[in-house]
Amino acid sequence: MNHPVTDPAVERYLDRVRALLRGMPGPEVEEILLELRGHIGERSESDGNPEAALRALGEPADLARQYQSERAATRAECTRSPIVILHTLLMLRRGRFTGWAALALTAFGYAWAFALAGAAIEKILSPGDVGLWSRPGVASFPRLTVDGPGPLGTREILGWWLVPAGIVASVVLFLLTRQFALWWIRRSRSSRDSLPT
Amino acid sequence: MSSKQAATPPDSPLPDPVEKWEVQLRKGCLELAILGALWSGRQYGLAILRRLESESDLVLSEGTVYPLLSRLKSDGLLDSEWVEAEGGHPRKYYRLTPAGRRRAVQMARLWSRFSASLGELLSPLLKEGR
Repeated sequence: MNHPVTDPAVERYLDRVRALLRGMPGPEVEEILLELRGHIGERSESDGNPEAALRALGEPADLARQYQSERAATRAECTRSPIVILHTLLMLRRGRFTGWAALALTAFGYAWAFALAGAAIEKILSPGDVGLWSRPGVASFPRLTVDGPGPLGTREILGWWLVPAGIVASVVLFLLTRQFALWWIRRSRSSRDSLPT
Repeated sequence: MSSKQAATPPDSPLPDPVEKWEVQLRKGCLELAILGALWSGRQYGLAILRRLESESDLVLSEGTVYPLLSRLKSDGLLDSEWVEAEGGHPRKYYRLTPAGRRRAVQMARLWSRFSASLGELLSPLLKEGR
């Protein structure tokens, strides 16, 4: 392909976008840059002013962030990895409180999912140290321990049932957390499609 | 702002919540608008922007259309191919895939049904509001 646009400002702009797209596969980045170069070249043909075309495209950082976010969101839709999903939420939060809240809630959900699975496994390895304890005759939340018997006056209420219950609760919480995160990512994607304001 | 938006009389500015609602409404229609712009055949980014500008009230910021096209492509709704244009500028043409055509039809039907029913509901309000 020819590259008729060799304006220094255009080259600086594209170099900046390239630098900000780090982490994306090289061929994908080159294709993005080629498309942007074609756009700038064709748009600036009429007035011979590539800088107006660059201004219309927006800041390289905003442009690169949109590409990175789209890519991360697509990856998140195809994965079960909590790390990829949390990373995507981190990219999409854009400083908004609701974005941070979604990230925190997702991290909390995953942490509890792993904690419940860990408790179920630990129950098999050290049955005496792990249990769900409740104080008879008192209305209070049961307490989960993994490092020894529960507080004085409490008794274990699940016994070995803690193993299947912990695993089922862990899987359900893991799936619910993923569903919540994907719902948020989709919502975030569609609300990010921007119009001039 | 699009030229059509700019045509709003300056003495009757939209209240802020209504303006926000309008922006959200427009954002919600972007995907359908792009699929619609590609319905009749392949187009490249700048041509899609110009078509949306001339034929609809939706004007995308230029830096948004390419990531959006890239997303629709990764969702399997669009295909792309490179073509060397006469001026030497490489153009990446996008076309609807069969899945993209199905999605466009589904969304257009939903849009049509929804806007017709809402129009019916709102017509007395519009008559009285004149």
